[in-house]
Order: sequence, then C-alpha cells, then structure tokens
Amino acid sequence: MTRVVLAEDGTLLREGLVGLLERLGFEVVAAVGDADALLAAVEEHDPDLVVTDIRMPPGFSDEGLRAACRLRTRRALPVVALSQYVERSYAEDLLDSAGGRAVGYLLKDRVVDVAEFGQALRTVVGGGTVVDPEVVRQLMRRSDPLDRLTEREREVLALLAEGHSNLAIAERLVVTEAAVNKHVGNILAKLDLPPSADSNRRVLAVLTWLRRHE
Amino acid sequence: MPPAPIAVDTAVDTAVGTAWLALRRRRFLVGPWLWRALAHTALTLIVWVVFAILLIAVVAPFGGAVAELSQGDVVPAAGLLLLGLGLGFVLLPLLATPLIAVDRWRARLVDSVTLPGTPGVPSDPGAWLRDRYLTPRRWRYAGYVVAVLVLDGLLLAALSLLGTSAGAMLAAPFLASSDDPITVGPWHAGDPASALLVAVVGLLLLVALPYAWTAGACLQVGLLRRILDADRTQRLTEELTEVGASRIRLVESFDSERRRIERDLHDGAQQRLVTLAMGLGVTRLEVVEALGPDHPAATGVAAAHDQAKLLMDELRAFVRGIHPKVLTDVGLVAALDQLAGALPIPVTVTSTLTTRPSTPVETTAYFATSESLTNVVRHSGATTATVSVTRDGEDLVVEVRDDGHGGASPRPDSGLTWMADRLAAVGGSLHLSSPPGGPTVVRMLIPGYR
Repeated sequence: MTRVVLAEDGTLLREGLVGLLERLGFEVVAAVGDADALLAAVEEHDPDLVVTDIRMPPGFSDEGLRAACRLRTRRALPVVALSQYVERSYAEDLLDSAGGRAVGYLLKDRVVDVAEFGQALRTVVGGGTVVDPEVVRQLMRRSDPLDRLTEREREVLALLAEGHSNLAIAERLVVTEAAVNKHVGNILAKLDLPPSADSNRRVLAVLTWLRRHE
Repeated sequence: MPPAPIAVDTAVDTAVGTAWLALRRRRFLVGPWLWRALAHTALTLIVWVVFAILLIAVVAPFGGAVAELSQGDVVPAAGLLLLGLGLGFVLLPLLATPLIAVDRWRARLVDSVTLPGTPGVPSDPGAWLRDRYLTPRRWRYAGYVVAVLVLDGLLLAALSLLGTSAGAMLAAPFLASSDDPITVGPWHAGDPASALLVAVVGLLLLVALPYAWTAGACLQVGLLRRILDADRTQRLTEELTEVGASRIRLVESFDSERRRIERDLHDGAQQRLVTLAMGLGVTRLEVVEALGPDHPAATGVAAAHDQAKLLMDELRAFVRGIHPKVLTDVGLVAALDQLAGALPIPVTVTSTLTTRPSTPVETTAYFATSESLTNVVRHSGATTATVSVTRDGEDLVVEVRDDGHGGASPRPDSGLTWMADRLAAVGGSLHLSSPPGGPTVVRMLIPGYR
C-alpha cells in the first residue's frame, strides 16, 4: 500500500483528507499541521508520497512549498502540493525540482472530485506530472502562438498538461485514440516540439515552452 | 462653527449692520451708529486706563529701581531690567485672554457681525501651559494687546486734541478780543471777523469728531477681527489636514477589515465546505459502488455533491471579491494575474516592479484595477485588454488599455467615479482617455510606493 505523509494546517480539512486518502487506498502514516513537522515526519517514515498544503504556519505564505522543494533536492520524492489559488511561480518552483518528475500542483478545491484526485495522486506516485487545469488554462491564455492551435488541439494540450495518457484523453473527448495521436502530433509539430512517447516529458515540454513565451 | 449670518438690528437701522458702513452714509450724523461708536470709545478709554494703571503698577517700581541701580552698578540694573521684561513676557499671554474677551464683547457696539470665537482652554495643566506659551495663536493675541494699547493710546490722544481744539475754536468769538487774541494752531483770532472764521473751522472739527471716533472704533474692531480670523484659518487648515489623514485611516481600516473577513471565511466556512464536499464525494463513490449509478440514492448524493461544489465556487468568487488571498500572500501582480484569468476576454498583465509596494498601495491598486477591468468587460465591447504595472518615483502606476469602442465618461454613480474617489482618498489620481472609437486607456497613480 502507498504510504502517505499529509501536511495541512486546518484540523477539520486534515481529518477529512485522512479519511479520503484511506478510502482511496492510501495508508496515511503521518498527518501534520506545519512545515517543520512535515520534514520530521518524512525523515521518520520515508513515505511513498507527500501531500502538502502550500500555505502553512508559522508564516502562512509558502512554507509547504519550500518544504516540498527541500524534500525533493535529494531524490524525486513524489509530492502533490495543494494551493488555495493559482500561482504560476509555485507551479514553476515545483516543476523545477527533481527534474519535474513525480510532482503535482493542484488547487485545493480539486480534492472534492474524489476519483479524479485519487487518479492524480497515483499518476504522481508513478513518476508522472500533474498540473491543475486552471494553471494550464491561465498559462495558455497569455500565449499568442497557441492561436495556431485549433480549439480541439487546445483541449488536447490542456489534458496533456494534466498528465493524461492518449487513451485517457480519447475517452474524455469521446474520440478514438488514433485521433488523439494525430492531434498530439499536430500540436507538437505546430509548437516546434519533437514528438516523444513519454507523456511526462510532453507535459514538461509544453510547460517549458509556455514559460519561455510568457 | 458655521459662519455666522449677518445680524441686522432692525430697531436701530434697517439698512446697515456695521458702523463702518454707516460711516459712509449721509444720514450718519442722525443715525444711532455714532452714539454706539462713542460708547465703544468710552469703553476703550476705561480699558486703556485700567491697563495703563496695571502697566504703571508693574513697570514703575522696576523703572525706579533700574534708574537707581544704573547710577552705580550696571549689572544688577540690567538683571532687573531682564526680570521686568521676562515678567512682561509671562504676563502678556495671560492678559491677552481677558482683554480679547472684553474687546469681542464691546465690538458688537460697532459691528453686528459676530466675531470668530476664541478656542477653548485645555484643563490639563501641562496642556494649558503649552497652549498659553507655545502656540503661535497666543503670541498673536499678545501682539494684539501691545498693538491695541499703542493704537488706543494714540486714538484717545488724537480725539482729546480734536475735541479740545474744536471746543476752544467754537468759543473763540466769545473769548477773543483785539487786546487778548486767541491762537489755535495756525489760526490767529484777534478780531471778531477772524474769530468767527475760527469758530466755523471749530464747528467743522466738531462735525468731524464723530467720524473720527467711529473710524477709530472700527479700526480697532477690524484689527481684532483680523487676529481672530487668522486664528480661524489656521484652525481650519489643521482640521483639513486631520480630515485628510482620517480619510486615509478610514480607507485603510476598511481594507484591513476586509482582510479579516476574508481570513475568517477562509479558516471557517470555506474549510468546512471543502470538507463537506469531500465527504459527499466519498459517499457518492460508496453509493455508486454499492447500488449502481442509477439508484435514486446515488443520483441524490451526486446532486448534493454537485451543489456543494457549486457553492464552493460561489463562495470562492465571493471571498475573492472581498479580498483575494493571493494579494496578501504573493502580491499585486499575482493577484491581477488571477483576476485576469477569471475574465471572459484575454487580458495580459505585465509588470516591471522589482519590490512589493506597501499593503495599502497594493490594495488600492488591486481594487481600482479590478473595477477598471469590470468596466472593460461590461461596457467597452473590447476583445482584449492589457494591464501594465510600473513604478514612477514614489508612485505606483497602473495602466489599463482595451481595444473597445471608447467613449467612456465618468458619470456620478459610475465605476470610474468610484475609482477616482477611491484613489483620491489615498492622494492618488485617475486619468482617462477614451475617444469615440477607442481605444480606452485608464491610468491610475497611487502615491506612497517606497
């Protein structure tokens, strides 16, 4: 069973998250309320996944994020950071850590879509990258070269950025996987990115490209 | 204190309210004002004599002592002189208050327009001392005392001279004879004809006398009015500065109250709601697994779950309108980014800031920009907009530009007016350029960026 350390300062929400994670088949080995306790708990339990709030005591700014990045300096410990709002610099800091592997940046409200949240956690544990659709949406709004993409291609790109496989995208959009393959090929071609089989690398490529063109 | 209306004593003279105005009318000599001015002058004499006696009582012993000592030793004499001056220095501001009170009271005789009042006196001894000796007002009053004593002295002397001259000249025909000529000033009356001429001049002087005392009384009241008006202007300036400062404090306390409400909602209702929706999400999974997705229990829980999620979105949007968390945590540009992301048209936010402005500056800039972007979306018909945030000296400059049809104008209840008020409250300004056909540019300057 996947062993999780959870860090969230709101008591009520923390208890709720513990229940949710256990229901989703994760074993919560520690549930803590601040960044220092998070670092200590990881040291003690050596978990398979860390789920942490970004904003935590004592400063209530980005303590959770700093702790997560510190945890990932030695190895790509899978981390999912939950944020109250979309902040590009938070997403960038996380993606810059440990080569952007096994990391997730989600809005806190996503936890209520229980099944999707569980899927996102498993993707990260498996070494994948998950970025909140809202982050992707906001990044894409500001990038004019994306105008070259069709509406459908943009949808596919957004789903790609969320870490979905081509098959998952096909299911979502109710099209064949071959059609998705074609869209992805077109997107990468239009954005001058070499095709790659690794969905994770595709996400990173997309985000790197978006960041460069802000 | 509201400006006093011009009070007119109808029983006396319906036409004028002051002796100064009456002075220039033909009916002055048969009107009441010369008698009122005479009463004022009589009081001036009494006040002057009282003050002169007081002054003599204080100064004479000193003067005597100084005169005596200065014959032999200069040092004690100088010391005594300094002591005397110091005593005068201490006494003057104290004497000023009753003198001004008396003068204000008797000023009504020649001027029915109420004079500005004198400020109240603090009861705390320390504050009382500071008020008496360390405020410019009190030394202005002291200056008034000196000026008015000199002025009144000269006035009384001039009036006495004028009065006695007129009397003597009028009496010339009865007193003068060729054996015993009378000389008044340049006039030499030695015979009945020239004595009559002198008497005519005396009559003219007699007629001039009421004009002289009335003018003198008006001069004194005018001086008092100047002193008290200067005082009122100074107080108004002080009050206006204080009003400006309190307006800034009010806006800031309003903003910090919004931050508190946001924090309370975030720590309370929002957290509870997320937990509730999460619980419903888990239950939804359980029910679907146990009973299938089409079971009434499953659809019911699904509906409740969706409602909870909608409520979460609404509460989030509401809280963001009160005070966005990202503004407190990360800063203005990030908050504007998030704001732009939630709008139905693409909005690009650019910034050249290298440091975060203070919280009041950021808050003002955020809400003014937010209002500006709301206007763009609602009224401009624009398809894109840009927000640029820059620094100009100690001003934060936010410029919102859209490609809409222009023609925006600030109406009394419009968002633009609200923005201008909000900026003015912190000493900032708003500049609008919106020609018909567009583009519309709103430029906001917020001071205090250090």
